[in-house]
Amino acid sequence: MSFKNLFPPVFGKGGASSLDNLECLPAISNGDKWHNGSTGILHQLMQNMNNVSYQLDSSIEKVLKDHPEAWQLAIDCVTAAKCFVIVLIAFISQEYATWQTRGFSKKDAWQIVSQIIRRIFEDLQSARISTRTPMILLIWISRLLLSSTLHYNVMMSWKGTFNTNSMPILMFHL
Amino acid sequence: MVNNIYKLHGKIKAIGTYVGSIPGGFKDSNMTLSKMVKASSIKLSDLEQSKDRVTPWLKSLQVSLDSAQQTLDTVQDELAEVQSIPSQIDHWMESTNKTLELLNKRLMSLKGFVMRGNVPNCTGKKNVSSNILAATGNFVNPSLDTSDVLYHQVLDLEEKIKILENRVVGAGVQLGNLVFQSFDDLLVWVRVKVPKGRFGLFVDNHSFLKFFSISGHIDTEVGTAAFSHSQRAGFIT
Repeated sequence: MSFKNLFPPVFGKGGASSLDNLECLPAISNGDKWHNGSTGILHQLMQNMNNVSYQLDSSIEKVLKDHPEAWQLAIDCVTAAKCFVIVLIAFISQEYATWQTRGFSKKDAWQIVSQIIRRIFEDLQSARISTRTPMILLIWISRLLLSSTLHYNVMMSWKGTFNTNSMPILMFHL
Repeated sequence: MVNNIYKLHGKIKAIGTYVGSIPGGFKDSNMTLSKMVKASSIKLSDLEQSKDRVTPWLKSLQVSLDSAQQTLDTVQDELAEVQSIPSQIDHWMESTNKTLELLNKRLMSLKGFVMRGNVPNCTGKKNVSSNILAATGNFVNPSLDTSDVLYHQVLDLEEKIKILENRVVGAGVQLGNLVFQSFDDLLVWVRVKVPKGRFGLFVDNHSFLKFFSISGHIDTEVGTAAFSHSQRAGFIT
């Protein structure tokens, strides 16, 4: 289940506890795997973006066409998630380049970027888990969209200050 | 004797004719075999061409199968999660029913107090009241003491604050542009507006990334090393 994994499969599956000592992302051990000329995870993400979006949009259109409010919410979810992924991709590439221009080697720059990404997904996971309640699983939906909105903002705050205290407060209470 | 010699001669002649036709038969057989070999070679080349055409398709089919397998795994996970909903809902319904029973008992108790014209106060005394409104502070019964009126007003305010906390602060839920005052409202909305078991279409950042299949990615260094090894081994790539 995705709630048990710190990272999505693109960055490498695994529980948070088992990754404490890792300096890089499990599936992307160096910056070249992220972006190297015209190859890398970056390009594959961008190439598959339209397909995944089309697949989800088609399913939503097919299944929820008679439920306008649910359809709108699902479309909002996909749109927010797409925005997040696009911003994340740009953020990773920009940060990797920035740390290299600051004099760090490729390896060190990628380790720094990996730690930032790791921190983002740790916060994302904590938000997802903390909003999960055994009382009712249907609340899962709200958690999903909230975390989408929240971590888009978290990304922005990371990009600005790298200070977790400046992250927006999750307005989600049980 | 002469007849036998003639018969024998005729047989020898027939045998000679048969033996003379054997090379022609071999020649015909050879032609037939050549044609069959040519046809077989043409078929073989066609099969090789078909194989070349089918191989990429098989590879793409393999990738599609991998992707479908991943999707299936995801669906199985989600299904297992969804299957646990009924027990959770039952548990929640039980606790809700208990709460409702307690509230009903409380309501009946209050109703009994009202019907008897008795309203409890903080001092434990029972004051006679002709109207329940006196207990809510909306109407001040002259027969009540000032402290009793204040007490009931405070109770009323506390109850209102609890309601406000539950509706605004404690249990507010926002889903995109939709705002629910409580999870109960969300539950009702989900039951009314969302088809049963269709929660997988609502994605977040993490679950959205799960739809990306990066299994076909080959690192540049790995690809270059494999190419180099194949060249060294003499394979024609």
